[in-house]
Amino acid sequence: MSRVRALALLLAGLAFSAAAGPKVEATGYLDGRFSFTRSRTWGLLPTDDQPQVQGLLELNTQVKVSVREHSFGYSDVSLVANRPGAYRGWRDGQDVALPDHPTAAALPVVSLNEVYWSHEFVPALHLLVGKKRITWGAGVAFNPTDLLNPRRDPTDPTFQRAGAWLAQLEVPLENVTFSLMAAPTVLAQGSGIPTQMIRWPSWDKRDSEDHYQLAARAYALVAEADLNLMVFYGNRSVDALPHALRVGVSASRYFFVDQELHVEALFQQGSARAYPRAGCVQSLRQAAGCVSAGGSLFETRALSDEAIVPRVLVGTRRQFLDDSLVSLEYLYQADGWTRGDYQAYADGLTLLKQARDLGLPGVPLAFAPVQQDGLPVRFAFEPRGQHYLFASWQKPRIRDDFTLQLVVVASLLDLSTLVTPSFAWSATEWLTLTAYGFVPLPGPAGLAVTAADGTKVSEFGSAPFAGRGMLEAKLFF
Amino acid sequence: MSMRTLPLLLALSLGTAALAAEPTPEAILRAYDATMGPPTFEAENELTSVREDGSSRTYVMRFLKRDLDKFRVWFREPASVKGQEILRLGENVWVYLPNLKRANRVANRDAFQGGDFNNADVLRVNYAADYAGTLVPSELPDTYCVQLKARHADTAYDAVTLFVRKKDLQPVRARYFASSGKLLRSAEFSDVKEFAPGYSRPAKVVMRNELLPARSSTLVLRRIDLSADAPPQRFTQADLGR
Repeated sequence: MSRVRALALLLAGLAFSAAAGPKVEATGYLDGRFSFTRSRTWGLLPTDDQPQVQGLLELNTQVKVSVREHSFGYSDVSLVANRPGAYRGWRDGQDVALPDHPTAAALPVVSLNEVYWSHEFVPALHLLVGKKRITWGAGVAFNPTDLLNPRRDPTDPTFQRAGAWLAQLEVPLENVTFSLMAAPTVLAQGSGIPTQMIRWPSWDKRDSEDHYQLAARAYALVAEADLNLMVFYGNRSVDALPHALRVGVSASRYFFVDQELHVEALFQQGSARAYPRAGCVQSLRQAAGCVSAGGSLFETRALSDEAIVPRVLVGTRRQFLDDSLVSLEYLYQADGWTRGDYQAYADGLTLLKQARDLGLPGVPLAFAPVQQDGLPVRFAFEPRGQHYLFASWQKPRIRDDFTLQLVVVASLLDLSTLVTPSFAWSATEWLTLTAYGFVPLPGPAGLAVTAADGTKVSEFGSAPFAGRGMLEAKLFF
Repeated sequence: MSMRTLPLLLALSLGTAALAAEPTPEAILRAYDATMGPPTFEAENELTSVREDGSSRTYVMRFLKRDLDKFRVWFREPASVKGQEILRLGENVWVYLPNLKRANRVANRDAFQGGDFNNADVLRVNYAADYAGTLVPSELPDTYCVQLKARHADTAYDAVTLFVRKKDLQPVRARYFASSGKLLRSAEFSDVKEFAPGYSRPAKVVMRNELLPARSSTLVLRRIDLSADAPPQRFTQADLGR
């Protein structure tokens, strides 16, 4: 313990070496995870770079350096070491072991989750500059109005700590708060440290635009309800939409003592969502034609639409007298993939498999979300469809120290689900042991789309793993 | 006797008569609120929860209170909860979780940090407004006994029986009931200390869980500052996590 604390204090010193004589508070954790994944080598998605066995060790330090009572610097940094192995793939109709090889999963990660300076000029005027995770919306598993931060893992929202680079001026009053935020878009970065922001340099000029996001928020506590009105303006920042104006709203309130209700919505004109091009994924010849003609297998067909596109999350939470908690959230995305888009997706996946079987180089069908920043998540989730349900049940304090939890993420288009049970034991005040399971279920065959080879394809049923188990030991210091 | 001293003597005699009379239930509740929840203060508390297996968990917290309905709690220890914060503003309670980097609304009836106190026990010391009291004969010597009935649904309990010392109205014991009349918890107040000139209160409150008799939680007041700076901005969601 003392070595870990000493390392945390050393990191504090490195991060804020300029500060002389300030008050330093350090905390953090050491998190060890061991997971076994059964790769679904027989599925449509490739599994060659997905380790079946993975050990992961994360050292997190959170350091706060106060120079006076309401002026402080803060850093939240994680060092992550990975040890993956036991790769498996599909060769000649067989599930085969593959040799260990360098993959992204094997790389060590330094995640600069947050680092910022916070200064209170007077109680009603506050400035924050740096990298910070700020969420204004009331959603728990998902936030439609969270445009800037790396996506949460909906099976455990505490699992993503990373924020976004920004400057925020805030005016908190008794029941009202006004916030102004400017966030330069990070165009290139390493370990959370930006190497290029706002504009591409002349020697790597990918475009000549300024990339940024501005936001204003008014919060009010009215009739015991949290109300937020948000306005966002950005240029090719969080997505490819140029000069995009978006409006967000959020509300949360308790009813009947224990019943919480919340709604969070984002409205924008058009959408930068990528859709698979049905005319390019019917055959390898057709796909090659689209790519060689300078096109892509995806299209952003709604980019210049003038229609208002809403993304709405409605949720409720109930806390029972035995401390158990049930949460239900429904997400609607007007620009989400339709059944026709999922059919094109299934056709694309079939092509991908055919290309692999033929030994062709990878067809550019990057369907999986690519994480640019933040901690490695257990389950990367980017909602593509129109309708989702997030449900969770938690029973804490079983024999005081045990917590049982069940999280279900469901696509309501095909009723495929990801089921995540977990069981945690707070063994001491500084050690928590947790066992997790991740089981993707395909849903009824009648609701799935059918690929060219007859395979039934559903959103979670086509995940590249059949199941995953994970043991975690988290030691706080 | 001069005409100038007569009114003074009359006032003194009336005052003595008033002191000798039993205080009203409302006066007892106001005294309880002034003792256990002064209008503004900053304090450091230690909460120790004893569980059914005999083991215990200890939490160290900093409290800040303003007016009747503004309350902040910062958890200092242990490491697993360090950085957690609680804000009560009116009927609303939020918990800030440092791992989540945001605040979530919680209900008033939730257990306070998994112990035997409810959020409202700790964050809502406002008996005069929350309960209607009736003075009844006390079973404890040298005490008054007040039976309290909740005025609305946001209170932690539907009924409370409160015992206070006759000599200074300091709380001694309390019993907390569900609407069915079932005894849920009981509290013992002890170690009355003078924390500031003219301000004394029990430094220790032991809350027993009557449904699970092996369980109890002890809240010890380490220090309290009645002249703390508590601007209204400290009691806003925007201030959580700072």
